[in-house]
Amino acid sequence: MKRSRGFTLVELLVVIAIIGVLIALLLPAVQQAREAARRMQCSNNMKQLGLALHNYHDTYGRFMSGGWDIDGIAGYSMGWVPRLFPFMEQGARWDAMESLNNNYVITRSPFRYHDQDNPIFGAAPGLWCPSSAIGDVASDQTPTSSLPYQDIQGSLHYRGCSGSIDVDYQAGSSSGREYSASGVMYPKSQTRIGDIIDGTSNTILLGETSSAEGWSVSSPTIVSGLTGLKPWVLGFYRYSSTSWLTIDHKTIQFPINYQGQFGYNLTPYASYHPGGAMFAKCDGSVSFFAETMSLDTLKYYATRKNGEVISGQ
Amino acid sequence: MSHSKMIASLFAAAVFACIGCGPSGPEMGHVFGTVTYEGKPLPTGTVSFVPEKEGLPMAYAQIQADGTYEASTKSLGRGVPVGSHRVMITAMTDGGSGEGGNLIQLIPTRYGGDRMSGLTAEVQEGENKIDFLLEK
Repeated sequence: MKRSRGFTLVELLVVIAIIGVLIALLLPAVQQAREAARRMQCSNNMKQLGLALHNYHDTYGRFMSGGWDIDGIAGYSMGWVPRLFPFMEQGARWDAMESLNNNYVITRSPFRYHDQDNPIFGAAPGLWCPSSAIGDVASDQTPTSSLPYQDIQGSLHYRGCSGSIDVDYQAGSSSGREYSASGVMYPKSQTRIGDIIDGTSNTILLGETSSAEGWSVSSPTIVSGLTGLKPWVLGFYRYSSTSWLTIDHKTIQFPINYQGQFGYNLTPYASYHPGGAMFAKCDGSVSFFAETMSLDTLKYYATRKNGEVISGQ
Repeated sequence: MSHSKMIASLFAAAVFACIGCGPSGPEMGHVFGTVTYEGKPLPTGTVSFVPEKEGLPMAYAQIQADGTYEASTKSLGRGVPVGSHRVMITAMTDGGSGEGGNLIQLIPTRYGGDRMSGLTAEVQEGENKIDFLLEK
């Protein structure tokens, strides 16, 4: 029998089927590789911020404070982020702020109404997670009369940790102003590495809050109000020496990727990374914590000197 | 190889490709009920179920205007993993976006802590009607 030189239909079908299966296997893997790359970049951002905070500690002998108790200064103040700029190769941004006004960062919130053609207050590198749908500016915020440009000011997706709501609770003067002083960064904190008795690898320095998914279900102002992901220019609000709004550092009351309502200073850690969020610890390491991590364990990681034993994670 | 054999093996390969892993995960129970504060239904808020057993997903419920709720998890959909849970409830309204903000708590803040609220839930397979009666 003379065999023809072409392919039979069935041979062609088999080849197409095999190629189809291979592509079907590969395509989701490509998407996962992209997310893995973004997660690595996010982890690197946190690592750099952790190192910058360690450099700050080397210079001043203590970690950055959450809020500065300067009498007579009320209103929205800049927090740890701009104060860290000289330590993370953003010194030019710092100098530009100082040239606008002496002692710019401790003056009462002048950035609020500042000329918005000025790039100083826009997106800053390393402060936002590339997986986040919010992006490099705080795009989910709505401009208000007291914060007219907050939607075009730079995003901040990494927030300090004030501790666990169950330990060293500070009630504040009214509801919404409560916080914990059991972590590393809280109003008036002066934490040294030596004060972190639980161990630097068992204490959270920064956590990732780059997603507001599931927050606005029943209260629309949770996302764009003071609980939401405010830009980096907003650090804290000092009502009095014992009463504070903490915008760039948060107290842990809720689990990772919590869905629901919460108070101003208790914004949960959340991200677009599947299944959890990134955390920088006080030893400079960065870990991914799963959202199924028990709430107790997360709170143990939040405190600096409560003596809890954390089982392997 | 004969054509029929080839077609049969192709069919078998297609069948294998279609058989995936079915939904797996913890057993779930449907949890719903009403939240009241001092006898009146709570109009807004969140009920959170924190599992006692490590590794289970947390379940959340948004309280509706009539005080009812129905819990679901983010990853597994409707229901709450079977087992015992500590429950925390938060309910607040934002008093406007004025300077410095103004938050109004509708229930005592202790209900918002999983260790402070004193509320627990035992979730079984099937239907679970769990009402929470909160007091001052």
